[in-house]
Amino acid sequence: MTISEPESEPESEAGRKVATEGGVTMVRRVNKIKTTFKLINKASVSLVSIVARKKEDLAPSSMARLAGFHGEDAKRIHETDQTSVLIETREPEQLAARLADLPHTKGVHPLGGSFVSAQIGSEVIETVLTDPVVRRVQAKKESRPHLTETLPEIGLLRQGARQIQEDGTGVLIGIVDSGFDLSHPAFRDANGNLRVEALLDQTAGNGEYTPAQLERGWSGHARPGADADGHGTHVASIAAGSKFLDYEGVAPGAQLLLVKTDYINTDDAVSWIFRKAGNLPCVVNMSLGHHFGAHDGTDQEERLHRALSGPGRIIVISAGNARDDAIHIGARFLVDEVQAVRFDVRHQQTGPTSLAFTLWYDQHDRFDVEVITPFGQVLRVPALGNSDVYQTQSHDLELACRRYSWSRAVQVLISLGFRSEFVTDRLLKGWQLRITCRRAIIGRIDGWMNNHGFGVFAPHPLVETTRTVSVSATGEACIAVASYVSHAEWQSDQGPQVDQRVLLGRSSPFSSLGPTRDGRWKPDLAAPGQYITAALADLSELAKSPDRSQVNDRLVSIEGTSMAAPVVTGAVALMLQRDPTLTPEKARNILAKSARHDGHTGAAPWTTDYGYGKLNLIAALDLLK
Amino acid sequence: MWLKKRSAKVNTEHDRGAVAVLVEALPGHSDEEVVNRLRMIGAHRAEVLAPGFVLAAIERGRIEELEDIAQVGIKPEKRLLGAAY
Repeated sequence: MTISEPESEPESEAGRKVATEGGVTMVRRVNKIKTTFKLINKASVSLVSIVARKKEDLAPSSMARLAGFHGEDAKRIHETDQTSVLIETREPEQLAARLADLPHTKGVHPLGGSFVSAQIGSEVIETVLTDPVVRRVQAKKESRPHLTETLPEIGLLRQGARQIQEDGTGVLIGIVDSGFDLSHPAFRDANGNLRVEALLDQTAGNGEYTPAQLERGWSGHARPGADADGHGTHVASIAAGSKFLDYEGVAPGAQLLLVKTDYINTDDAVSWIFRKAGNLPCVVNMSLGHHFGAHDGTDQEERLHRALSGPGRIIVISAGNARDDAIHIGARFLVDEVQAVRFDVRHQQTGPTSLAFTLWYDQHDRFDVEVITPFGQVLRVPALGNSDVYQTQSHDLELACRRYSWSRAVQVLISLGFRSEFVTDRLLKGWQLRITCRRAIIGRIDGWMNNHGFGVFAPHPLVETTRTVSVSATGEACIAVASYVSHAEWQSDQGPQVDQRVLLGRSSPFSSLGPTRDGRWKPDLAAPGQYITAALADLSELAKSPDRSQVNDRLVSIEGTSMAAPVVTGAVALMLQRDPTLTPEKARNILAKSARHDGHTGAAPWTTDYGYGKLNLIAALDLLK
Repeated sequence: MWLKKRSAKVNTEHDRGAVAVLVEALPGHSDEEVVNRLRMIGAHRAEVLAPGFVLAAIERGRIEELEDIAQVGIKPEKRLLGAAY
């Protein structure tokens, strides 16, 4: 391995080997310098020791790299006698006592939970690694000037320092998501205490856990609220993660209220979080959504959010990733205008193959909607207040037309379900929707497939990328967050990765576009959501993506409006720390007024992709003074 | 592959099984009345989440037994919004 040194660095040629490759001077250091061995995991630490013993003439940075250190700057690798480590163990007290007796070891103290902090010498590394109660050893890495790429982007960090006093202390952040890896240091404070006030597991009989129960559960095998997916761990650490390696969440001083959701009772989850918060200010993050509603703020859960939120009670929701999913059709029709659009159903590898979509139009208009099967059968949606069910051996089709008391819109429901043993391409492809306008006062009709991945509309003028903000982000009470590209490069177990398709600063190509069906301005603002490096849940689905994850560092880099929303959630927590009675309306107005405009957003006060602009946290907090 | 029609009213029992619902009392009816009715028709759970909103899980075929005093919305399933999903 060769290492390039800056030409300006004054150094004797003694002890250096110089070679020329293609006109570029490559310098390899062979004189002994100090190296900090970055202890990534057991295997790599062992490798460091072996490398250090057997290849004394190898450049120290090479040893560290062979050991699995992925730092980009060879000059930053120094040798020291001892390395600060964080040790995860089943028996913290017992291990701490043993470590204290070891030579070349100092500063041993249990941090709480399953963690022990220590400074250990290379001579005893293997002793520690082979201790039967040690689960993981990780070096406490030196912080870079920038803790993450996200915090400087929103103005929170400048030259490595937080620009404000607020860190979320005294504020509760609620996260409704796939689960949480509470063994991750991102969820512990500097003393090693879990920063979780309570956890509700909707997937396990609505089990509720106190901090003490969580500590017990996570020091053993129960692991309540565990995150098999990895999404929730990542989201929670973006909003509120403690400083971990080079990474820190937006509000690392906040306490957490966590709900592992069943994806249905999200309304109950939000209600539980606010109940648990009591009199403390609280912001809830929901990085999930659907497209089954009217997209006009009248969905039941959206109206429930209005009832639940208020002073010190704020809800932040991802705008959605449906811009290019071809799941939305919409247009204004003239009387007697007819449009037919083809759609295909996607075969589901896991779970039943099905597709539901709803069309919505104003009660004063009238549309005839027909479904044409791949075999040419024409089936008309019945009159208002009725439903028809059709069946064959292979599939069912429900067509319904109804109105809800809370909406001025008429809903047309089309629902297809297939029996897996009969699913063929012939059956799934080539469906058509034919829409005829009979009366046009407003004359607009919009339709959405219930979610992405179930089906897709074929290219057609009716297929729109706008009005793809998901429910419940179309609700009036929430703050809806779009995503933009803040970072195109990330580290992974497969080495450095780069997405050359994206443009820094530009709206993420997947980020759903506004406005709402009734023309209101959603999303409210955009935040960094592509690519965001944050906590990785152990053994999760995300951990199986070596081009995204750094398993030993417990980090993963992913994208989505799911990742943008918790950036804003953390920002709102800081705002709530400054003003605990902040209302959702005032928070939204401040975020909108302070939002940053640049060459990508343009000067317009609101755009379909960025909302009112990009999150500008310091300016937002300044408006709260 | 020709589909055969089987007429049914909206919210009848063509799809059996418990569904999670959010129930809103119609004008002139109270949350308490809705909760009582839900319990009477065997709801697995009936709880006021916020004034005007009652959470419940009931057999889909029994939804129409509520419709004289309340409007019932079946909760849709949500999806995570990371782009990889």
